[in-house]
Parts: sequence; structure tokens; C-alpha cells
Amino acid sequence: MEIIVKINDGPSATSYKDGDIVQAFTQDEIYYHHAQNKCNIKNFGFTTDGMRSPEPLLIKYLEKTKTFKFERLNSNEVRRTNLLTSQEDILTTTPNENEEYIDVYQYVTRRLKNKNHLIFRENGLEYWYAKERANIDVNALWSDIETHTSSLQSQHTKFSLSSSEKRKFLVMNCCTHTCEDDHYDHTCLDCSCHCDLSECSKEVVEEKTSSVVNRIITDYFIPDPEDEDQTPKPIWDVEILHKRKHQVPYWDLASSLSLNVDDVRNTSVEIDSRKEPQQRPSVEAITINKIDAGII
Amino acid sequence: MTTTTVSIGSRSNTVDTETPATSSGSGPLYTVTFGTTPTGIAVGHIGTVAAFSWDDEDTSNYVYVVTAISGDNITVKYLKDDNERGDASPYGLYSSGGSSGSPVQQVMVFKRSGITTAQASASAPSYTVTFGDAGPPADLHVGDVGGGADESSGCEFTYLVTAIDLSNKTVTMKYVHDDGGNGTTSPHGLQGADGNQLIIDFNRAFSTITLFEEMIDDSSPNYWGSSDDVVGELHADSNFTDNTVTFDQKQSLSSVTLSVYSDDRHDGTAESGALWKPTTASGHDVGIIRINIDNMIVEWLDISLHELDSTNTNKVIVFVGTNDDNIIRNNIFHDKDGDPGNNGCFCIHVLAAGASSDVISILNNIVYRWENTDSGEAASAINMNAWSGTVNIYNNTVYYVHSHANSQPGEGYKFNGNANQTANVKNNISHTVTANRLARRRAFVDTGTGTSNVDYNLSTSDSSSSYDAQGANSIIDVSNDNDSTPFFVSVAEGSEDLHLHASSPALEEGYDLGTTNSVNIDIDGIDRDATGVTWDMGADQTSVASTTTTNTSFIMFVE
Repeated sequence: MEIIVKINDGPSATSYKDGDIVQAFTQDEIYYHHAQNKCNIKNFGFTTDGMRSPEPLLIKYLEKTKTFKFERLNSNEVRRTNLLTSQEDILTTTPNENEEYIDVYQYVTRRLKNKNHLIFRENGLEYWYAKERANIDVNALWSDIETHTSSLQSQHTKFSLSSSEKRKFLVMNCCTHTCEDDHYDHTCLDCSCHCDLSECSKEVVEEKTSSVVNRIITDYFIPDPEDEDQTPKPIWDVEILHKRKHQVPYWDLASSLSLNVDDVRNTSVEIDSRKEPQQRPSVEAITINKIDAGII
Repeated sequence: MTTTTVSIGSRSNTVDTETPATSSGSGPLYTVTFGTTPTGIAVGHIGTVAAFSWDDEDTSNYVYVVTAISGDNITVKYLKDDNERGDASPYGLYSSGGSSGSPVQQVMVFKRSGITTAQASASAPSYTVTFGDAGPPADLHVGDVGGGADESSGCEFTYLVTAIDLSNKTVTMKYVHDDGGNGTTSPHGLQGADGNQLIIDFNRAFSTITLFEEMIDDSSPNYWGSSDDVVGELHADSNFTDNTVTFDQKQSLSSVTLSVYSDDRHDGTAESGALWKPTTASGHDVGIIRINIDNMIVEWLDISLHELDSTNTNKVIVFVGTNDDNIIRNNIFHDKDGDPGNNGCFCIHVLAAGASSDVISILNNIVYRWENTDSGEAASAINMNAWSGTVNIYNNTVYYVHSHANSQPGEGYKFNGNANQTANVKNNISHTVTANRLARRRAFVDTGTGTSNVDYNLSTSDSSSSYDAQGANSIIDVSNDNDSTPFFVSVAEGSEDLHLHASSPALEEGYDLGTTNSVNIDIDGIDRDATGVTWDMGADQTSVASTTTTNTSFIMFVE
């Protein structure tokens, strides 16, 4: 997991505070960002008739990232294939049992006016891919990229940040350490105890970037006259008390993380504390819950 | 007032790394092919090679600029090398093998960088720099940042790109920062202290929307002045995955706009431009974009909640209360499913009252597939009920809002729940709003507490009659089975296209709402006033006057 840490307090009560984890990414998310850059539609050209050129890498990328393939069969019919289940159905201007329909002529005509369109054509009939999947096998994507380009997945382990961002924030990475000795209280900053290291999950990213909120009632649903219970049901909402619940107290970890705190706090100095996978500290060793720690 | 535009995107400075396979030419121009197909390389990019020569038994770093691309053939022009060997082939493309072997091809690293030939500082801290040969990188954008490392002074400079003139091969760059305290009057970073022109590396100003927001909250921002109008433009480098971004301080900025670069805007359908697709939950009721500042515009976004079905994310735009002159326009929000938790799902939702003189405008947006599968919770697309100021809800399209609850509604639009609210609701479409009970199927909910001006809207026959579109010029009970008259171009899952179909009853049934806040610009960027016909209802303007007088058909299609 890569984390971007706020340096110095923001100006307002609700601003990010020194050490707050402003943003975090899983390793897979970073790989996927780079894969999207490599397979960006702007990297692929058009055929002479204005269709998107069906480059092998682009097709493989779309097959692995989209949910559906649509293939025009004639002036009215489109075959939709679910790429996850291989289930097929036919769509026309007449609604199906789910009230779905498509006017394929109008659809394709409109798409082709977008210079970033993703409409391909084979044997005179158009096809396209649509709806990004929820879960994407980034290693499979990178296998294709490595087959078709000179880019290597192993050289794309870090999120792309500008030098300005690296001066303004402390960028570092961490992972989950599982200790053979079950030492829950050790720091695992340099992992001399030979922990098993693994990537952090999306849930960890979510938790570490969560806010501190207070629930409030903002509105009510109106009961219908025929309802037995005429009590308006409240609509709850939240107010954000603190933008982030977790922080990295880098000033306390400077020695073990080999950081010079003065350099970190000097926004003229670019600090990139991201390490190779086997050198990454434990996420639980470097982050603290500000509520549990009594900070807020 | 100064407008400062900054780019937001994830692409890196390094574009590609390739090893030449063949080369032709005799310098300074060489046409090169590579072992694999290059990706992402554009005219104006810089390619560097570290090549060894037996002649002087040393490695020299060669710098080339891309001057032309034709298929897999890339023409590069020699600019310089450390050892001043010059442009004679083959050095720089491959190392010389000396007397003992064949030349060895060397890796060429392509970057979004450039070398200027001159700079003019007439309006310092802005400098207009000139690029030779092919000009600046073809994929450089206003709002990107350029960094120049002046090795002779040991100092790194940062500039913000404020204008690009490709015809004159010039870029205007505003000094932002240097780490040596040299200040704005120095040309360093563009030209070294030793007089040599430097390589400038270009990047996006911000990698994520969250980092953009963090600087909006900064009292000492790098890129803009304290009272500027700031525009953050998303670029479709990769998906934006920020799970929640809270705009709750803007210091003394005049306004904040979160937009999309013009070439990366959606075409009125999902996933056709820059895509914001969070991969983790926002927190229940927090929202993906949370706004608590005045003078903010959110436009041209495509936000998909498809990956969040099993999470607690239940809102896209949340107005917290400080929201005067907030405008939400030309966005597509879609694909909320699942059970986000015990408060239902609301796409655009105002929480607090605000001041009676405050105005929020919701214009030309599309919301579709907004579903809550919980048996006891609501699904609501645009809910501005609690606002105490003026709310303008104009020309939006809501399609398929579905609550699975008996006791809670599926709502298209809800407003006028505050005695001080004035709700202006016109030209909107609510199509297919459903819940388990008919009484809960509500296209337009006018709570009736304040003042409402509601007309020229359209609701489909699924809506409870009490919540049909109100007003003498509204259209109600439109069939939503689509058997005889398709309403939209497509409602097939995955290829939804909610542009109006040629047979749609919403064509030319709207009202001319003028040009305030660009309400006349539809979901594709079409100016309704330029079409020469009555406005259509909904976010899309399909109708346009025929320019051929002999044509019997009055309607043709644009976009």
C-alpha cells in the first residue's frame, strides 16, 4: 500500500493535519493506473474508415477490463456477450423482458463523432466493449502489456506523483506483516523478525483514509396518507469532524524509517520514502488511530 | 480576477522505453524502428540514450527530440550529447563495438519533456518559451507543470503552463517555485546559470482529485493566487478512484471549478471520457463529492458507482450548507446498486438549509440506474428538499430509480421542503421511477412548504399520480414500456445512451431558460439556442432546425 502523508497542519480546524493519511492506494490499484496509461485509447489510432484500429494489445485490454462485448449483427440487431459469464442475448429497438432496447444506428452514429470513440468494425459490422468491471486481474493485463511492449510490470510499482507533490507530502509505502512469533506489539519497521509480508487490502486502504464523522438528522420522508404509521422517518446524514482518522507520526518514526524530519517538513526538499517490497514497514506499525490515541 | 487552470491526472513523465532495432539517416535526423511497438510517444517528446564509444572510451548521454511519427517509424533529431560528439551516426542510437565487436543498440527513454531555444521574460514571473523543431510535446496541456533542474546552480525550478501556441511553438510558463530561493526573476530552470537551455520535464499539476482539494484548502498555495478563480481539469490518463473529496475550505479564492479537459469530456454516455470510479467506500452518507463552500462548479464528470454495490457509499454530491452559487452541470452519475446501509441512496442531496439568498443550480445532468435493493430504504436521484435558498433544477434526465422497499420511495426529484426555499424546476425528465408500492413511485415530489415554480417537466406512467410532473405544460403518463416509441437511443445495460430518440415525446417540449450558468449547453456541449428550435426536455438537445427548406422532415440530429 502506498500512502500520501500530509506535512504540517492545514490552516483550518477541518483541514488535514500533520501526519494525516491524505490518500492511499493498493499495489494492484497502482499497477492498474499504469496499465491504463499504457493502454490509453489515445495511444491507438484509427483505420482508414474512421474506426478504432483493433490493435492486439487494445483488444486484449478491453476483453479483460470490460463487462460486455456488443456486436452489431445487422441494421437492427446487436449481440451482447457478457465477458464474465459468456452469456449472450440479442438487443433490438423492441424492448426485451427487462425493457432494454437499443437503436444501433443512432448509437453508433453518435459514438463515431467522439474522437476518443471505441468503435471497431469487422466485415462491415461494428463492435465495441462497455462497462468497466468491478474486479480486474491486473497481473493478466500486465502479462499482455509485457508481451506487446517493452514495458515491465516490475518497473511500475509506484504511483505517478509530481516532484511538487513529493515536496509537499511524505510519500511512503507499507504492507501487512504476519509475524511467525505472533508478536502483536513489535514495530516491524525493519522486519528483522522475518515476518511474512503481503499487500494490504482495499479494506485497509478504505479504513486508513476514513474520516471522523458525527451523525445528524437532516430531513424526513413524508408518510403516505394510507400508511398506518404517520411518523415521519428521519433522513440521517453526517458532519465531518476530522478529515482523517488515521495518521503516520513520522516525527516519532524518523529514526526507524531513516527520515530527517527537518527535510520532511521543508517543502523545498523532495522526499520519496517508498521502498522495495521486502523493505516495507508494517502498516500497523506506522499508522495510528487518532481517536484511540487520544489525539482527537 | 485571474483564472488559473491546473491539470489533474496520473500519467508519468516517462512515456516509454524502447531499444532501436533499425535506424536510417545520417544526422541530425534519424528514422528509427523498435523491437516492439512504441506506445504513447508524441511529437515533441525527448528521447535520451546513454551510448558508449570506443573512440573516446566513454559514455555520453544523447538527447533527441521526436519530430515525426509514421506508424512504427519514429523520426528523431539529435540535439546534444554530453561529450559533444555531434550528430554523426551511429553514436547515440547504439554504442560502438570498437575493433572487437559489432555496435550494440542502446535503450532510448522517451519522456514528456522539451528543450527550449529561448525565453522571453517581459511579463515575469511568466515566461514565454520557444521550442525548436517539432515544438513543445504534442500532448502538453495548459495546467501541466514543467520542472527544470539547473545542475550548474544545483537548483530545481517548477513552472505552471498557462498558455500553449502550437503554431508559434511557444509555451507560456509561470514561475511557481524553486528550491534555491532564486525567485521569480530568474530564467533558471529554463536556461541554466551557465547559459545552456535545460530539459524541462512535464507532469500533471496534481495526480489525484484529493490532492487538488488539499491545495484548495491551503493558505499558501503553489499554483494560484489567493483570490483566483481556480479550475481543476481532469484528464483521462487513468480512472480517478478517490472515494470521497471534501471541499470545505477555499480560503479567499473567488471560485473553484472541478471540470474535465475539453478533449476528455464524455459524449453524453458513460465511460466515453474521463471516468471517476471509486474503488473503496466513501463512508455512509459522506458522499463522493462533499461541498461546503460557496462559488463552486462541478461539471462534465462521469462518476460510476458500479464497483461500490457492496459498500456503504450512498451519495455522489452532498451539499453541506455553505453552498451559495454552487452549480452542478453536464455530469453523468450512474450505476448505484446494492444495499449501502440504513439511510437509502441519494445521488444529489442537500443536507442543511443555507441562507435564503443562496442559490444552487442543478443543470443538464443525467442520473441513471440508481437502485437500492434493501427492503426498507429509499432511492432518490435529486433531493434538494432541505435547502432554504433558491434551487434551479433545469434540464436534467433521471432514468431508472428503484427502491425495493414497501415503506420507502423511489424518487426522481424532491424539493421545496423549507419555508424559505424557492424551487424552480423545469425541463426535467423522470423516466421509470419505481418502488414496491405504487404510492412510493414518485417522479416529482413538491413538498409544498416554500415556493415552487414547476412546469415543462415529463414523467412516465409508473409514477404515482400524486407525484407526476406538475404544471400546465408538463407531460405525464408517458408510456415507459417503449414498445411503440423508444424514448432514448439505448437503455441496454452497458451501452446506455440517454440521448433522446427520434420518436421521443420530450422533443421540443421544453422551455427556453436563457443562458444563465450555461443552462443552454446540453450534455454534449451543444448550445440549445444555436439549434433554432424549441428546447427539448432533459439533458440532451437532439432537435435542431433543418437547414434545407425542401426537406419535409423538420427534425434532424446533431452531436
